[in-house]
Amino acid sequence: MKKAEQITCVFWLVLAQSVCWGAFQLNLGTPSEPASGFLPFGTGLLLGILALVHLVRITFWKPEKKEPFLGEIRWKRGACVVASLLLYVLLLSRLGYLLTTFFFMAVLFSIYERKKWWVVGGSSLLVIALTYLVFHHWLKVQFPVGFLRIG
Amino acid sequence: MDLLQYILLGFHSALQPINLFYCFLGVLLGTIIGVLPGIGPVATISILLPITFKIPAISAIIMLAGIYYGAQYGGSTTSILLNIPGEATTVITCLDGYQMAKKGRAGPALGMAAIGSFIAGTASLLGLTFLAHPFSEIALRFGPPEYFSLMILALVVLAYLAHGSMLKAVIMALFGLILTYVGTDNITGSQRFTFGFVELSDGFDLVPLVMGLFGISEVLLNVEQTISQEVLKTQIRNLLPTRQDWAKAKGAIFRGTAIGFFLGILPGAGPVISSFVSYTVEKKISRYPEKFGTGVIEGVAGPESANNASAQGAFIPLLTLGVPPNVTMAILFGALMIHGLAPGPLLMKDHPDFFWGVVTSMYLGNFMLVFLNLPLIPLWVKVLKVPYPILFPLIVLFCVVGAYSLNNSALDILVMTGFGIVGYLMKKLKYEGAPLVMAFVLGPLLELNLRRSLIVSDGSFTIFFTRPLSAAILISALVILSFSFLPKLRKRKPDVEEII
Repeated sequence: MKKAEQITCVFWLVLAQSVCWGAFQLNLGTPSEPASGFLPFGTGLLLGILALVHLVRITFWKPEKKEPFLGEIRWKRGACVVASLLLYVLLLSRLGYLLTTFFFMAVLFSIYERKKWWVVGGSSLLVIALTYLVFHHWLKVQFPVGFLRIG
Repeated sequence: MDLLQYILLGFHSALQPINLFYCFLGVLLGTIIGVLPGIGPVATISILLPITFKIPAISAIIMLAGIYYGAQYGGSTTSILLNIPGEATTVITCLDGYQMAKKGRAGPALGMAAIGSFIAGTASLLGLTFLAHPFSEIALRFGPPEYFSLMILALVVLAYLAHGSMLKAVIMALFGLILTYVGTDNITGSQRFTFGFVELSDGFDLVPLVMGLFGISEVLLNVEQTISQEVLKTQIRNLLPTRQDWAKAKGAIFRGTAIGFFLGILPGAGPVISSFVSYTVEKKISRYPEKFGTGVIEGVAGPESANNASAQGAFIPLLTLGVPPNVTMAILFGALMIHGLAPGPLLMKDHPDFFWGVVTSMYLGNFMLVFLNLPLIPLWVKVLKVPYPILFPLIVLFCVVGAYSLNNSALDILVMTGFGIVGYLMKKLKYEGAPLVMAFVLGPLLELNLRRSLIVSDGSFTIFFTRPLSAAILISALVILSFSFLPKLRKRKPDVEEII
């Protein structure tokens, strides 16, 4: 946990430095005529100072017990959700809403435990039908139709 | 027009069939998500925000407000029957509510929670009705320095009341501010931190950001574990509390209402803190403090009244000053802006039908909630049994469709996923999302008011201290900041909670 905290502080420091540098490039202006970079520079500077203070505190802090890097993580299901979301973004315009969402829901419904294919397929179809009805017909959301031109 | 005419105008708007429908939908959804552990009002409002773009502004805000205060009612059911708080605002209700249920008194506990909530919610609305006008009159005297100071105060109080480290809360607020700088500068029109990407020229949208931070990250955290949903097997009967219960609880309801209302108005505080303060007060003044935690009805009545009073009191600073006091109000602030309505003193003046329509809809919503909560408790117990493996894919799909429908772009789903991962890591590292969202919502106004103030004062920062109202607000912020640092100076070694 301590290491994770230190890495986070380094991230904040890098972000702060980048913001200050970016703000400087934008032009800071003067207090009487503050330009685009004025407040970003101040924010970056304050973030950098606070991140440094936190880094020093964390470095000299002695935890009573050793904790895992990011606490307890059972990452498999979470990683599966993120991977499905990324794949969904990738395939949505190619396969269209109905097909992509069907596969997406089938994966999500199976993440906790393996279910019979017809339960997963049926639930996915039902959810798609309902969301399509609500979002496409009622709320007039234009979903991508994909290469099959359905939807 | 006098107040009575405004109220009648409000009821005329709120009683339109479409608004009544959305009010009912809001409080129903609020109750359901309040009952369901694993999804809260912030996530739900974030998820449903894109849907509201297709409906009239007044109906949209009536529904979103209904979700917010409806969730305060629903949350107590899980706390009492499951010992799992449906919402953070009902954590404290678990202590005595669950003990009452174990003793076979689930009915009076649930009944007292609902009736106390109704009384407190309605009293708080009366406060909102009568204080809205004086508040907006004061707000009309505000110039850029006062607004800047008020926003600083809101962020300072929010950071001060953060659950863990205040330093981390301030870092989060600064991160939120940095996110607002991405896009076109409102004053000069120049591009900032877009790195040449045209998609970033409008900056980050609020919707994918909050959906990711609160919706997707909650899912990522919850799928790590198996949520047990064992409902206490108890007979729920005699929902109406006994005369003895009333005698014990009436003071707690009154005090809870007062505490909740005033903490609701304060920027940064909110229903969670109100419920804890109310419980502490009840325990302190009780003749039998040792019995708290064993099933005392005051331990249910006080916090439940406080969280409802606070939820409805929180609309005062949002609607009259244009400053959201908590993260849910910050999202509602964003919703109002998206609908082309600027929250603040002019909202009441320029759109009285909207303002009073929303306020009076909450009276109706409170009535609906009592009727939804008391007779339908067995139904909510059944809702509790919806397994998370079925619930979470639906939440993810709602987020995905909601993010997509914003601009009909898959890029928004990507942004939402990105913020989902950020939100997950933040929670793992004990960084709070609330200061980030508050700063993200207030950021553009904060910058605008700071720059305007400096231009007016010819670059002198003393303008924030020479104007009496601004000085008073900033001094309050400084006092709050010193509260947080003074005790730490006396300690030799900071404790774990402070650091992490």
